[in-house]
Order: sequence, then structure tokens, then C-alpha cells
Amino acid sequence: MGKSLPLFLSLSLLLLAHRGHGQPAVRTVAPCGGQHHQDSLVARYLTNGAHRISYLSPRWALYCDSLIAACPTFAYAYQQKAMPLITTGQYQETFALLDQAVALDPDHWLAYRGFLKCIFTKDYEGALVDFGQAARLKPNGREMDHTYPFFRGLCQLELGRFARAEAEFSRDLAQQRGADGTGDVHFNTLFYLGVLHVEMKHYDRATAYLAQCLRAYPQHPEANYYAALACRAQGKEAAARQHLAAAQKALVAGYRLNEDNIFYANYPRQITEFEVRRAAR
Amino acid sequence: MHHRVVPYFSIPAPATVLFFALFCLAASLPGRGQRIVLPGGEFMDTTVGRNPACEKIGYAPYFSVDGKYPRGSETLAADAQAFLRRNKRSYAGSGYVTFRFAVDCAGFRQPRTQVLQTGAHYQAFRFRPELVEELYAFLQTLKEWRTAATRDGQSANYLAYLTFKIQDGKVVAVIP
Repeated sequence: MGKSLPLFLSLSLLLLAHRGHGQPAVRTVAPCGGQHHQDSLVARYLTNGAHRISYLSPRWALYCDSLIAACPTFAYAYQQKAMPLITTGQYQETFALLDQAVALDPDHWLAYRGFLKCIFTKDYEGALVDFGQAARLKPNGREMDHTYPFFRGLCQLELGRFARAEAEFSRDLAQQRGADGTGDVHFNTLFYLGVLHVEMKHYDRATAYLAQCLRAYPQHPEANYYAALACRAQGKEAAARQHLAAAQKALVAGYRLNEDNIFYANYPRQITEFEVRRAAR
Repeated sequence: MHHRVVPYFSIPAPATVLFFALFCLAASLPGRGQRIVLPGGEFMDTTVGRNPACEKIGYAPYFSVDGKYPRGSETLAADAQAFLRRNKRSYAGSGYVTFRFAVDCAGFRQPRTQVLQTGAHYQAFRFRPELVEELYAFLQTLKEWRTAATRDGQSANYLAYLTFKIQDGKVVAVIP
């Protein structure tokens, strides 16, 4: 299993790259001689080629180059070549390829590029632009399990624009709840709303959001950590210590923020045991 | 009769003092890199470490062995910025400085370190060497890399990287 884990992660990232497209793409004409021929190229160079090896192998890029040579207007080929590079800090090459993918098929890849800017390169201004454009192309679209306003809210939070972050998270909540208001809300929306209100020193509201998050996911390390900070700010030291102990226990047991890409990059406000120990001193 | 003892290798006294002074100065600086440009890229250090216990073990990517440095990114960014501030120099430029290296199966970061630099808009860009060297010196202060194991319990060497996001000469984020 050890040797196969990188391959497993490679494939999981591949699958993720296809997720989160809430609406069908506008594009209807497949490049390079139609859908059938395109499918045969994917089978030849990706399914039976690159996807059978670790994407950290130099052969991965060679398969992608072959696909690009066979079909230079196929956006997916550029995204596939870019994907391993983002996991090794090669940003110049990554985004040169992704820019080509976006130029060829913005419906499909604009929000994905925004996601990488938000989570991987902490380029919050760049991500805001991409998600803004993506929302115009695909209103109510999603990327990596979240709405576009979720990522926009996260960017605004990290840029310190709290009022704008709150407005985006409100849109995120509305989109998740749906027209009838009964849809489930992702626990990390509740977590980041909690963080936002800690930052704004609205400790009662922060505590309420974090408590909702912890009802959905009691071991959430970061929610426990920020709940501790909120309790401490309110003078509730015993409760703060309980939350810190819960955060520590969860981290030791292997619980994490629970997003697909935390193997590769920390999400904003993600903590380790170090931060918990420091807060507990 | 006086015999003058002539050392086999003699250095005139003023040069000896200067040499010693320069040696002390170099030794006091925090881990300056070599900045070597090879066909495979630019390196801060090309020294290859050898730990006999890890020599026969393969290399895994950091993400398959939970090999991220055990600090939150915000903590690392604050520590790196504090490190830069300590010598009261100011820097300029925005973008990314990435160091790529290996960590051996005993948790020791290996000296061979590649450096990549990218502008804020992902274009080719170069920061002033002093900033890159300070960031590299900070990297060298990180001594708690995880000892990694594969899921079947085998020790693992792993390939890792650390990127510093720079905005107007200040560290604002650390990746991953």
C-alpha cells in the first residue's frame, strides 16, 4: 500500500479535477475531430498511459505532451500536465499551463484555477478574480465540494476584509440551503464563519457557529482550537482548556480539517499539535 | 647559532589575521547558500547527505507520508517574517521563493536544496539574493521534520518543499 499511495493520491486528484461542476458546461463541440476521437486520445495517452504511473514520474509529462501534440486545443491535456507541478512548488510552469486550459475551456477550468490560487498559492486576489468570472459563467457552480462564494469568503477573510467575507459566506449558506432552505451546510462553512467572528471579536456568534460545526464533526481540530480562543477571550478558561484538550486528542488520533487536498497544502487556519500546545501553556 | 624555524606552509602575519577574521565572519553568518546554477536548476547547496541507515530506502513524495512540516502555515509565516526582521534590513518584491529538498528516514533535511523563484503573477522573477539567502537561513533553523513511514510501517525518505510567499519584501504565507 505504501508504494501505491502516491498513485492513489494521483488518481484521487484526477477525480477531484472532474468534480464540482454544478452545471453542464456550455461547450458542446469537442475539439480534435469530435467526442469519439477525443475519447480515443484520452484512452491512449491518459487512461492507458499517464494514469497508470505516478504523476511524479517524468513519463507523466511525456504522455501529456503527446496528447497536446495530438490535440493542441484540448484543455484537459494542459490541466493534466499542470497538476503534478502544483504539488512540488513549480508555480510558473503550473499556471502557464492552466492559463492555456482556461483560455481553451473557461467553463471547466476557471474555478479550478481559482481553487489552486486560493488553497495552494494563497493568491487570494487572483482567486477572487477567477471565482468572480467563474460565477458569471456558471451561477451556483461548485468546485471541490464548495460553492464559489465559500472560496470568495475564505479569500476575503484571509485578506482581512471581514464585512465582505461575511457577505460571501451568507451567499454560500444560501446556496447550500437551496431554494427551500433545507439543504445541509458543510461543516467547514460553519468553521470559517466561526473564525471570521473570532477575528471580528464577536465571540458569542463565533461560539455559536463553532458549536454548530462541532455538532456535525465533533473531532474537528481547528473548530475546537478556535472555540478555545473564543472561550478564552470571554474569560471562560475551563471551557477553553476543554476545547484545547479535544483539539489535541483529535490531532493525535489523526483527525484533520477534512478537505480532500490537505495532503498537499494546508488550508487557511489549519493547525498542528504545536499551535495547540502553545495555546495550552 | 640561531636556527630559524620555518614552517612548511607559512602565511604572513597580517594575512593570517585577515584570513582568521574572514573565517570567523563567515562562520557567524546563518547558513549562507552556495547559489549554484546547474542544468537541472539553481541550488542553494549541492552537498549530498549520506545516512547509511537510509541509503537503501526509496523516496516518497511528502504528501504520501504526511511530510508537511509540523507547524501551521500561519505560524511558519510569522516566524519567518520575525527571522527576516531581526537584522533590520528591508527587502522588496512580491512573489514566491521555493526550496525543494529531501528529508531522510531519520528526519534530517538533506543539504542539497534547489531554489525556484516566481513573481506574484507567476512570471519569471528574481528576488535580491540577500532575501533568498535569509529565507534559506530560516529554512535551516527548522529542525523538526517528521520521520516518515509508509502505511506498511517502513521508514521512508521523502521529497519536500517549502515556499515563502513574499509581498513587498515581507513573508505573508508559507506553503504547503
